[in-house]
Amino acid sequence: MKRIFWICLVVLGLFASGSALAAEKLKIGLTLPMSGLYAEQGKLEHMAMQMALKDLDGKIGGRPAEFIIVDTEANPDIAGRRTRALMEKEGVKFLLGDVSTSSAIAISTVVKENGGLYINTNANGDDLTSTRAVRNMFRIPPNMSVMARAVANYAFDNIPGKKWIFLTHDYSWGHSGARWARDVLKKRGATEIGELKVPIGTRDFSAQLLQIRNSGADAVIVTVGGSDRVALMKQVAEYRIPEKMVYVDTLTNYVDVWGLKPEERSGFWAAEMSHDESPQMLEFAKRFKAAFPDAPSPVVEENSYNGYVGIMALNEAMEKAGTTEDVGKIILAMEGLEVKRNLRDKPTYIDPRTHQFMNSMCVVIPDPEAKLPDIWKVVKKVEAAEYEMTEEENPIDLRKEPLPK
Amino acid sequence: MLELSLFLNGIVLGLIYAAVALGFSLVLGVSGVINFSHGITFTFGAYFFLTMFKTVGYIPAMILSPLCVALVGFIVERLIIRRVYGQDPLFGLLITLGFTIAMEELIRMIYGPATQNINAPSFANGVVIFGDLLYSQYRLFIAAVATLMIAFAWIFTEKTRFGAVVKAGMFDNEMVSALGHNLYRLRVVIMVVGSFMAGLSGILSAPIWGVKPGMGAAILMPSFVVVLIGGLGSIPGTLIGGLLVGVTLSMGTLVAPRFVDIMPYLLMGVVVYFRPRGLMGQHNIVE
Amino acid sequence: MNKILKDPLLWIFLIFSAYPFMPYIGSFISLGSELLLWFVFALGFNLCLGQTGLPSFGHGAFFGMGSYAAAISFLRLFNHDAFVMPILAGIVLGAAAAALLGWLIREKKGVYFAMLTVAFTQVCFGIAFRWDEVTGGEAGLSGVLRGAFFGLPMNNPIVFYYFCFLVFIVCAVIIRKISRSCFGLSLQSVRQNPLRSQYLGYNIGLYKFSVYTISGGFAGLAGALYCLLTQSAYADVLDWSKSGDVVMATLLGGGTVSFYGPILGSLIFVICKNLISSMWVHWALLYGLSFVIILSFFPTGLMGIVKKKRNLEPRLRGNAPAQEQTRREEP
Repeated sequence: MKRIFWICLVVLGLFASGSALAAEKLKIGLTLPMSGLYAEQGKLEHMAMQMALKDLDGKIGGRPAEFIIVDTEANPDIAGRRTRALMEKEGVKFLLGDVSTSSAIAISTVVKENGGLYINTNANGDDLTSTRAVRNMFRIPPNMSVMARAVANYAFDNIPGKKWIFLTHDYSWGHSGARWARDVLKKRGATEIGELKVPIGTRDFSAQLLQIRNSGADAVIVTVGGSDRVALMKQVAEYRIPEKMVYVDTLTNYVDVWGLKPEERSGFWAAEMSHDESPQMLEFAKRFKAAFPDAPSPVVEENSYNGYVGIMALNEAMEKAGTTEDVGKIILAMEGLEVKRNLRDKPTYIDPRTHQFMNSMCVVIPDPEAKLPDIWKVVKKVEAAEYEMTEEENPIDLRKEPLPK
Repeated sequence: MLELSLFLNGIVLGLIYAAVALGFSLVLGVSGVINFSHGITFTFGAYFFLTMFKTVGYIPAMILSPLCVALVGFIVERLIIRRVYGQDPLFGLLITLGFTIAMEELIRMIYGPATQNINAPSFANGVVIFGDLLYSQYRLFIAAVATLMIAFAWIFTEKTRFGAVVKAGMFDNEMVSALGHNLYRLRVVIMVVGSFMAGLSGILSAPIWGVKPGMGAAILMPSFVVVLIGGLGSIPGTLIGGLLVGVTLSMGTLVAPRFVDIMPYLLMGVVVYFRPRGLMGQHNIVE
Repeated sequence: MNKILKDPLLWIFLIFSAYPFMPYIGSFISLGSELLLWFVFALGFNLCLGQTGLPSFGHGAFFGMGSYAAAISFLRLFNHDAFVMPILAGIVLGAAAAALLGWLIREKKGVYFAMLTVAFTQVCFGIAFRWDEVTGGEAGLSGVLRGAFFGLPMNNPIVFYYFCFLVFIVCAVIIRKISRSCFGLSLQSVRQNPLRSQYLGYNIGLYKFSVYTISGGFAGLAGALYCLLTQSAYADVLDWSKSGDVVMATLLGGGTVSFYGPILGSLIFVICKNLISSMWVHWALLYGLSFVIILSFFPTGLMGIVKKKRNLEPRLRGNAPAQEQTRREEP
């Protein structure tokens, strides 16, 4: 019987033998969806973060830094578990990344428990800066209240009919998009015909599209993300939805849509940014392309942009706080920080109350005669502050929460 | 009109499920092995196709890659499934499940974890319109190929001498071998045919569902459900089961769109609870 | 004294009592807690598979339900320093669900039993994944805090580890008592020859039902601990593949021939999943292949190899490869 315990001991001992290496480098954990629904987005974030580290000469906050990457698979359970392992086993205190709102919530729970700092780079669900906000988490991209309200208002002004139907990804981010588009619908007096929720990983939208086509709506408000969106847009064209109604996307991703055929792109889209907004971005895109010739996107788009800004923000906060260790001080430094190296003309302000990065966004319409990479025209540019959740809608004040020790 | 479109959709979906489930059902019926590696043959079909179709063209790839899958099926039978003949069916299930997990990871290692898209072939790209009814050409194409496959399997078992041995083998293995038929050869042939069909279904469904490492796992459970609803080893039963599951999934979006996924399982629970052998099942060697 | 010293459980307890002080993995304390709760889960499950021969794919559902019961009761019912009540809620819901399912399918056999449990699991998964109002849907429930337990700060991971350790000791002793009791031996007879035990006057259905309920309770307990460990509950654990994990781990370890098999199996599985995965992402390839190879050469699993060498085989024969004795019966 004892033999078994020797087996146990050997198994445990095996891992003991590969024991800790002396670590003086600053460890930054990257929690990225390298597989699953948002694999392309995750790849872009990772590449841009590597670029940022290179631009900073391999140093963050003046200290040589290294990345440890974990794949969160756009799945909250896995994200939480791997983040926990990363923080406990490797002693990582600073984390960046992730696209799925649900995963971001899971990560922030673990980060709060272990007293770290987490900068979310690409999740747009409004929960992250309202009901599920924690002081240890910051969020870079504009939330869905901005994106969906901007495009829904534009749609209301530009579509004659006022009957809307919703097609929603059935998880926190999708619900968030539908929620704020519905907010506009109610305030301005459009009619909701119905809502179709599709699970993550849906590739076959035929049943939903048949219903939408037959619903008699004037606009379909879509909040579907990642690789599912690619399939959806193809099928939207196949089922000739644009003949009957306008396709309104509450948040588009350049990386998802640029590979489609021109006739598969239609409607009004909300975009976090347009790749040609500033000369710095165009310059960055060139360097990016040279460094990563096989990147999933030919221009700088929201995922790579946010990943880049995330590293820059962390660097500037550490410099301002004068430490690379004390999480509490760095959080304090980030609240109200203006990130300067953000590839835009003016710095990005971080709202200390909600921990939201404040940027501009734009409403775009696809250009049928487009030549890559310019696939769309910006029809309206909006400052995030204009549609951000008001204090009434989101009374949270993170400054009142205790800082991690 | 909407109902009709959804119904049609359900039929097509059901035909795919039935085509996948058929191989599964035949292997289970003849060999008494719950072959969970059937899902991975579905995945292999799509990935082989993905690798081939750009170089050899659509139709040749559609014939070649299921043949490769059939070869995989042959190897799997020789190496793994042969070891579990005559043992508890659930033991076979777990061994093939372990194999599936390993192969899925192998695919992830070679092709990467991301979902890849295959476009519908140009000859079946677009929609057919009858008045207000609108239907995807590609789906009609799938329906046609799947029907052909099922019809072939039916004729094979009902009208040929070999088919008669297969059917007898489902009823009583020992007697069949006692009568001088080579049971091992029979099992290999069934496994190869089943893998071929699963591989072809994988190719057919790729433009609809995308190609990803987990696609086999996703189809495995529904096809198992189809087999149990229809009855082990019964071809008409599998067809009926497939159509029932497909139509339930499609029409279910009208009733309770969020809970559509669980409907086939509820259906199966009810059927198996009251008719343990399924709708058309007969006494078989698994019992 | 000598008997106690020779008791393998004592050695397992000793090893795990020192876990937080081990080099390298000692700082990865949540791995230790996860291991312990997996032991409870797998040992409880083995009452079904190894002891009674019930191939259940429903234990993932009971585990998940325990997890949700703990999270929901913590967030909605009890005030925020409750610690024991969520765990109790997990046990109760796990056992209740198992009792319901066990009662419905107590007369089913083999494949049909397994498939009905799969159907149950998938239905539970579908509901948990979609019913936002109660289960939080895909995002799951988070924000479960570990309060104090008799003044011990459970939010300290090491304290929580020792709590799991305590639970594991209690459960392991109870489960071994059950499996060696009169009841446990009757269960074995149900496994080895259901027909004969029926003739001897045992109500097989009742035995299956009760062991299923008990084992569901342990799964619920493990689920509740998992919820407290991760401070959240997700629908993912309810998927049938997760039920498959525990069946595979139990079989790999050799649960059918040895009481300690599930511990060995889940040790390997959890370590692969959490540690090897950070070294090589494609760990599942190795895990799956070694499972196939080991099981096809040694159908009784790793403990089977150990036992065979020590010639203990005739005393405790596994059922995994054994034929169903009642082949010609109605299902």
